[in-house]
Amino acid sequence: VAIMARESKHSEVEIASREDVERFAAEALRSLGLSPEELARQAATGRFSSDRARRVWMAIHTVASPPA
Amino acid sequence: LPPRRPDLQTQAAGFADRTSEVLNRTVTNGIRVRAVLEFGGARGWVGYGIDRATLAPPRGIPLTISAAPPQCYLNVAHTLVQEDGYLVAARSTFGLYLDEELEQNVFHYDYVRDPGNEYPPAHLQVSGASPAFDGLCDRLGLAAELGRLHFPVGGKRFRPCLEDVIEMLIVEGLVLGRNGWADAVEEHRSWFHRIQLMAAVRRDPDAAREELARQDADK
Repeated sequence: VAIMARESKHSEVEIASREDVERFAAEALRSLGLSPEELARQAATGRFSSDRARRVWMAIHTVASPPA
Repeated sequence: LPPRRPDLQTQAAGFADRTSEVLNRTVTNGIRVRAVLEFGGARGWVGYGIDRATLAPPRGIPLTISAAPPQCYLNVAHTLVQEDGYLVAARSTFGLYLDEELEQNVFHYDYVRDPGNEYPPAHLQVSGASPAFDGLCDRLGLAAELGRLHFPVGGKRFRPCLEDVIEMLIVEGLVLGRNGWADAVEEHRSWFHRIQLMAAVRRDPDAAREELARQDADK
């Protein structure tokens, strides 16, 4: 894959840094009052403590274990 | 299809554009779905109201085709990962909500490619109750709730798409559709099915060759 520009050439696409992604995950977990392990445990049982927890999991699942 | 694959930004823009277009041709009024790509392109997100600081939609898409206030809201979000230069959906969720803040869920369809649990990768959950289901649980001694069930919906390749949900909302009278909504749904759904078919062929080319050979032999 070609090296990607840090600025997007499409108005509907934003480029995030790794730090942006990690910051979002940390803030989302803090607002849920859950640790990464607790959210992962909920996902493993398919029973989330709230709909918001489920939606956060849908967004950040790759953050804890990024692709190699 | 173009002979060369588009770059990752263009692919992400395509995800966002197609989602905005089908919604605005059917059940919404000028909304704009956006995409965020992580630098390097390994991961991406598509959703309404997202930006690089907020990777999950913070509010629902108002389901109204005019200036009339919406009666319900839709949450649409995809988490993308890159595979061999293509952005593919690792997780998708489509949910109907009573409120813009996405606190009161009616139902949601989820697709989780690697669920990490025993439930189907593509499933429907309905925030409802059923006396009959409660009665069954009483008989079985189960502490279950209808809203916690994961109803299977077609598996990885044949799961419902956003267009199916839009169609259901209109046909069931839950939202008003624009003139021409059915054509827009069909056009976009055909695209989704084509992509899924190509992915299925990549996954099992022998089956595709076998079927094509059978068709050639029948000619």
